[in-house]
Amino acid sequence: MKRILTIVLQIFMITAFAGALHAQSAPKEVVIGASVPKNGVLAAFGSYAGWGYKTAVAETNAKGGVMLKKYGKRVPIKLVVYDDESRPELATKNIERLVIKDGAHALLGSATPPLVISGAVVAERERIPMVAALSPIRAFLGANKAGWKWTWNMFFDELEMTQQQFLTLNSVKSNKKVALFTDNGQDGVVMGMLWGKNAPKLGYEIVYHAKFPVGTSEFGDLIRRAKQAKAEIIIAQMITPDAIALWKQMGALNYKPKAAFFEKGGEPVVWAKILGKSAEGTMVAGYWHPDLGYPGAKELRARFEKDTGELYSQHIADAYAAAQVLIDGMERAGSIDPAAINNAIGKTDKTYVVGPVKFTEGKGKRSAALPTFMLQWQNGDLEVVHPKKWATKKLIYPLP
Amino acid sequence: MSFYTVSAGALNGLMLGGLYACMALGLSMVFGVMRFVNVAHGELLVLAAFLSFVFSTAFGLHPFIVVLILIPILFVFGYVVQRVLINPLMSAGLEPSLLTAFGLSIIAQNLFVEIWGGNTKSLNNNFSEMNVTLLGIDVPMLYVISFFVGIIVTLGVHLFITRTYTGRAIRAATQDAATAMVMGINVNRIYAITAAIGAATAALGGTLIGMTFSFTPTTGFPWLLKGFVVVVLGGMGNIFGTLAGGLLLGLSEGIGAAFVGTGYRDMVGFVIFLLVLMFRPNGLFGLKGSE
Repeated sequence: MKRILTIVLQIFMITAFAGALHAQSAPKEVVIGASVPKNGVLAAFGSYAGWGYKTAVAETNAKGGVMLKKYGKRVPIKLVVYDDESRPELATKNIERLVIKDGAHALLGSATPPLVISGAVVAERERIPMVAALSPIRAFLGANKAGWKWTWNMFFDELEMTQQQFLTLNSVKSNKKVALFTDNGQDGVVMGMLWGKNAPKLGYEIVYHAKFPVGTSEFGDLIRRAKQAKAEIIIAQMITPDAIALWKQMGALNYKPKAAFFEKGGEPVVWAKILGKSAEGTMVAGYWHPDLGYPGAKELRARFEKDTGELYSQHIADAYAAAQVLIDGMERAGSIDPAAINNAIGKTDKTYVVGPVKFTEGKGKRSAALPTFMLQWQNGDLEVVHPKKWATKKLIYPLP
Repeated sequence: MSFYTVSAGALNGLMLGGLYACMALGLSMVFGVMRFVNVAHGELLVLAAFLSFVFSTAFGLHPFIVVLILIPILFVFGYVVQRVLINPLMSAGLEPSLLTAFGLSIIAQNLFVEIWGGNTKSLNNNFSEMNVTLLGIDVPMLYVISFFVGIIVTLGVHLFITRTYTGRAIRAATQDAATAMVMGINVNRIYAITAAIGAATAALGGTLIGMTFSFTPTTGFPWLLKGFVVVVLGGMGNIFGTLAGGLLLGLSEGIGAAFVGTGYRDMVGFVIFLLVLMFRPNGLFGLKGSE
């Protein structure tokens, strides 16, 4: 009996020791999952986000991986990226697949509120930390009244951004009459409302507000109404294909506003490529420019353009920085425990390539607002034209 | 709302209707002759737009010159696809060919992404920002061009169908394929020629879409839906009916947008589509029993 008890005790001890050993053994790799739109109407954003994520992970892996103190070693990162085809329901499925099938330890967000939020809902449910960029903050926060717990967002604040258009034009002469063109996407709704509130406060009048579904391609009636309202300024918030159609049709219907802002749609380089000379002088609010002096900003632009042969977009910076924020969070947590990583991300307070990142405190806020300014397409490149302290070129006004 | 707003909407819509007719003509012909719903027609339009983009950027050619090269290319493409992939399935009923077309549509979308990427594209041209003043109303030049192209293509296809031996064979196969076969008509060849003509008209429709709007690998589906509306409005397989359906859809969308807003533009078209299906299932210009 004594012998049997000894054997049982030995087996128990060996098992417990092996378990302890196993608990301390480092994982072969850390899995970071991301869902981005490689196809569909938001494909342009997905290509920048994908590049930013890939580059940040490749840099970490070049050093041997993410340093996890718990195991006393660097562990390589495996980045798994799926295409959500610009479809929110697919963004949800992709994140589920990343967590359940691929065993993602942490996640990176997609682009624009519908896609980011669709993925973030799964991250919250599965309790896996996610760092998102490319989703305006108020639209992001407004989508979860109970407050996000596992999702962190770093992008611009729509309230500040929707003042930039008016502030930019304060230095020039116009009749201060504005026509708004906003789609029914989450950010279109939020920003349309904010422009409506900000305009009178800053001395402008919204004389016409066109609202339409995402995917609209014929704008003739809306253009005629804006023209009849004598708006010299147009501000639009819409996806790139729709924005291209609107701007082309404005030209064809002989409507030449003095200033045109195309938020979201006028930002990717395809805007300038497709429209050529007619893109000259159009504006889009920005949150990053390689000449702003943040560490590694110029190098990041150069690296992107060398890698792809394409003109940079500001989205490469926030995507790259989002991945760095996540990796730094993992290093501070020192383990792959989701709660520890989540807590560590919340303590981020560092200047990245995209600028200073510090998440707001308080229940459910979990967002870091990047400072905004105004960019203008000049000779096929985006230049900062407002405020003066950051300006890289003089404002072209009125539109050529 | 002013009279000007409504009349401007109506005139612009009517002109745009030419593009709708041009875009839907191939869909209508294929359905009319073979009773085959070509759900890959949208991808044919997008293929034409991408090929036009390639030729115009590589050789610096105007899209209207490129379309002259594209018409024979898509004609051959349509012929081969029909002959090799669809014809062998036609005798097995409607489902196999429909599923094949559906599969082709998915394959095409993925191929477009692999070859040209997922980004938005548009065909640069000097007409896209030009306008014409008609009855005191500004109309985009491309809408006016589309209107006349729609009429010319419809007339061209009509003349081919009514004045040539192949055209008469197509009509015979449309009315009764079995009898046409007995009379010595090679129905499989006729089906392939019909699909080829449909693809050739898609070359025009796709180029006009690319010039007037923008396109991505997944743009085909919304255009396919619009094509269905045009075909049902005009009467399935009715050549002039397709033109009338296109113009009517453009007109009703334009007037509808002026009354209820651009946001409901497509809805106006689909409401008319449903009403026609309810009260005239053969289409406004279709013959009774042709369904």
